[in-house]
Amino acid sequence: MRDRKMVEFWQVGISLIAFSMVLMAVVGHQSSFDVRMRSFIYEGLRHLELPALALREGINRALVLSRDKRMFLEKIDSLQKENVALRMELNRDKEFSGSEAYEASPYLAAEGVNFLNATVIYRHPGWWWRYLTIDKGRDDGVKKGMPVLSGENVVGRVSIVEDATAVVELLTSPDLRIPVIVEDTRDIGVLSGDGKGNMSLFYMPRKAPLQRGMKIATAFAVGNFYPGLLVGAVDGPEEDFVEGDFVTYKVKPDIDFSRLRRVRILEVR
Amino acid sequence: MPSLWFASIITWLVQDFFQVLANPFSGIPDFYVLTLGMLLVSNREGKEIHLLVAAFVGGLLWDLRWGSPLGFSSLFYVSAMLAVKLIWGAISQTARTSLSATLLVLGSHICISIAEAFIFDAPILHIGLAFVVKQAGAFLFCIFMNAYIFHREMD
Repeated sequence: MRDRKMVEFWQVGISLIAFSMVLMAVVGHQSSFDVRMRSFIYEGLRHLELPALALREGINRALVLSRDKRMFLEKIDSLQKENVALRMELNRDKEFSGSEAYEASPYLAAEGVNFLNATVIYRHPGWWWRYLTIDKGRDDGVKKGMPVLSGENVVGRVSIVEDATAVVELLTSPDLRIPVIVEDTRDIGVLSGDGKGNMSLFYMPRKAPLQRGMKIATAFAVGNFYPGLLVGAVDGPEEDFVEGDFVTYKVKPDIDFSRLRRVRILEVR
Repeated sequence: MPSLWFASIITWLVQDFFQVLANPFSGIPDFYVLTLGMLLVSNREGKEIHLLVAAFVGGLLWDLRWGSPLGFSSLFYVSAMLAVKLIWGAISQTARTSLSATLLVLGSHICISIAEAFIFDAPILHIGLAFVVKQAGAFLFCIFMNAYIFHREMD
């Protein structure tokens, strides 16, 4: 009797291991089924998680002790919004000054820039440098391709949108390649991550070397993505950095990608 | 049997609670697999298969909530249960003490954490201070579980 139970135990155990492996092989990570199921589970659990969220917020508030400090943070928030609008306007000025495109596009005031604040609800260690999921989705006005910021800096782009959640692909992901511009030289290149927390700037001309600290911003408007947003600064050339007439540089982000807890989705009205 | 499923649900929710608090700064102990492991070694004859199923279902739900590939945590949880059962069955009756039970379950937890650290390149899983804090939390939880289970048996 006891032996039979043991055999059954091992049979069930091995079957469950096999089934887990089949699931991993069949259900692709970030596939629409996977994301929909996760969104569904999050919807079911979010009310049960409210005490934990309230406690987390309470701890955060306790750390921001005084009212003056809170007002100071609100002021920073408003200035960052204004900075983003001015940076985008400056980019438009540099790119299209005197052309028809410049005259056609309206002046972008800070009031036209809207930040949708979102909280990171999960970020799996396996895709730490590639994806994170936020608690805002289609119902909140999030659209695929929207830029996601931390402070004034771009951290990624919305890649999948569900009703209540959205998946953000980070700049450190090797699958995300975005056109960027070096603000001082107006050289256009491609920024991409290596999946290990680093970013590189590709296709810079060899003839005009870049200096450490030069600011890099997004280059073109693609879908819901906007030009002129800050992504980081030149940190120096890569080890094997020369390839033909082009040079690859390391890029230093102005934010800590490991400590993202809240982000902002940028919407321009 | 309801007590087993009740304990499983409560522990899963406790683990989720701490994960929400710690996210995304730190990893937390796998309270769920620790609880199931301690229940497995606490001489609950005939309930082992239920514990395996609980490990599988809990792992699957964890994957769905916290973004792992579907089946990843359930694979680890079920494997840990099988390993605990195998080793527990191999040691003599006299060596089956509460201390050896704690060490065995904690050992399986450390193995899962090391495997995750090797598979994933994320700062919160690197073998360093966060790793030690996670294992220390797991150790304290095991002592608590041990005290509860063996206290009940002695009563």
